[in-house]
Amino acid sequence: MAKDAAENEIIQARSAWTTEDWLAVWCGGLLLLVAFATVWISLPSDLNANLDSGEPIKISSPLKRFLAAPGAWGQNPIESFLQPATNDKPGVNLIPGVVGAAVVIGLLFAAASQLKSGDGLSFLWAFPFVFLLATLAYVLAGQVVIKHYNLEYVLWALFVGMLISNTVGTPEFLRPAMQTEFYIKTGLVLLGAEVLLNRLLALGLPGIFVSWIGTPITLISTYVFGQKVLKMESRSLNMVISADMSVCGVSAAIATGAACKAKKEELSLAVGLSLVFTVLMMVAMPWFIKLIGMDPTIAGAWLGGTIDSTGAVAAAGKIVGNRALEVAATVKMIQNILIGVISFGVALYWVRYIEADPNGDRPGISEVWRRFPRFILGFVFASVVFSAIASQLRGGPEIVDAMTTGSTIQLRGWLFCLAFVSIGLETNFRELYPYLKSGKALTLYVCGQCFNLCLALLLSWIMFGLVFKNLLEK
Amino acid sequence: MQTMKLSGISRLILSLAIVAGAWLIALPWIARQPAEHDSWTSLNQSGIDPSAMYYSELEVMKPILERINRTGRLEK
Repeated sequence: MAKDAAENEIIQARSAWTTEDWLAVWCGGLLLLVAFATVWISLPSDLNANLDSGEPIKISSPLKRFLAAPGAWGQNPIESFLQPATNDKPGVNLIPGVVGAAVVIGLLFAAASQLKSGDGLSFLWAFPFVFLLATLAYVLAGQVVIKHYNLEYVLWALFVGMLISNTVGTPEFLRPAMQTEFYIKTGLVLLGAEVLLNRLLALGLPGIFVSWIGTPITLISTYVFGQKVLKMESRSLNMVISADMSVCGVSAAIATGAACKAKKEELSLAVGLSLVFTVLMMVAMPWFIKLIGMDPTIAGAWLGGTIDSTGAVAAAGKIVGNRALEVAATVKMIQNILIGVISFGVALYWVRYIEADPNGDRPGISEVWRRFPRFILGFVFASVVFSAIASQLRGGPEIVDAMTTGSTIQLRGWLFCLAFVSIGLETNFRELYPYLKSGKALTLYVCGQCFNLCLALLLSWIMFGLVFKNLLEK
Repeated sequence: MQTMKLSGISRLILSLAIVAGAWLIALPWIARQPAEHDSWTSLNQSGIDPSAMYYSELEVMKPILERINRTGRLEK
């Protein structure tokens, strides 16, 4: 009897460490470790000498050739994978990189599926098909007109998945590789390495004020407006829309959606709304700014604080001018870094208040710890570790940049793309209809964004136009 | 009047044909228009990918951060 109890305890302890949340932390952690180690062992021998003499240093990841996603193309989709050499650019062959990403993700997730539910082989059989759909989504997203208007790959991943599920239906054998949450959670742990807290001070106090004061105010106000005024039935949809509109679009929607366990349809709707309004704002705002002749620094801060998507912020800033581009991109970067804190806060709020028994006591610390999503801890831990590496190591920023741009950004992109293909494969158009019918999601987004536009303009004017007007020139 | 119902395969083929038409004919045509071409080329040369999801995907951030770190200033 005692032996049985002991064996049960061991099995329970082992299964606790092989839950999806923990496996996402292990998989993400392993990928980050390998990515960092390969950059570390290939550091140039004259790194310290170059740093001492102030020479520019070049560090790259040896994995860069073996991990890639299809690139941009204008006339022929083959250019996504193969680009001929020109006078100013060498030829590009991304096929080994795409295959490499498929092999790394396929084998790692097959092993994880085996540990989680014992169906590693079924995963391996289904994965190449789901990966092919993700590749198609990347190719659709890579067309330059589509890229120009910020219609990100997640939208096309959703579209490709829904194209299958709403026509011929999703084949049963694909289901083992449709691991939406697992892909998102692992992708978020990888994203943690890009959330470098030491970059918070890039614009000093005014940057922090616009990004870190204005953004939480907008997020909380929009969430409260959704609950108290619009009386939205789904708190998670309310939160995901509030976060993607106030923080940084798709990446914030993915992070907060995972933190508050939003339904796949809710995440799809929030992402769709964000991308549509991003296109409108990236065209209309620079036009308005030029029309009224707004100061480029204030304009940059306003663009960075309001347009959801990071790439669209830079594109809109470029239309206004170089100064506006630099302020806009830097304000957005500071806002980007906020997603670690926001997703941690949302996860904590959900466990403590939303998931609590309404008739019972609030859960204590041990219960909060038991329910807290572990991958959020992995996300925050990765952010803290790589922020420390970037700020403490000699050449730290260059090492972390080489690691992320050479390998983990590509893997994170594939994981989010696979997640949205999986969502599409599981989504029927009819399931989205109730969310669209009430119009509350659209109303919430429009009202929240109007408030965001006013607050961000006010803060940008106070901080960059009045209080710290000359700070950035000093 | 009898409603025509397409089978799943027919709907998939029709959808794929629309996608192929849009991506292989319409979008490349738009990309060739001078205004669109110039705008994209300018963004590309500045290291701006308008579809970047996170700041780490923007090439333009590297020179901006280097300049801020080196001089504490933004471009005038």
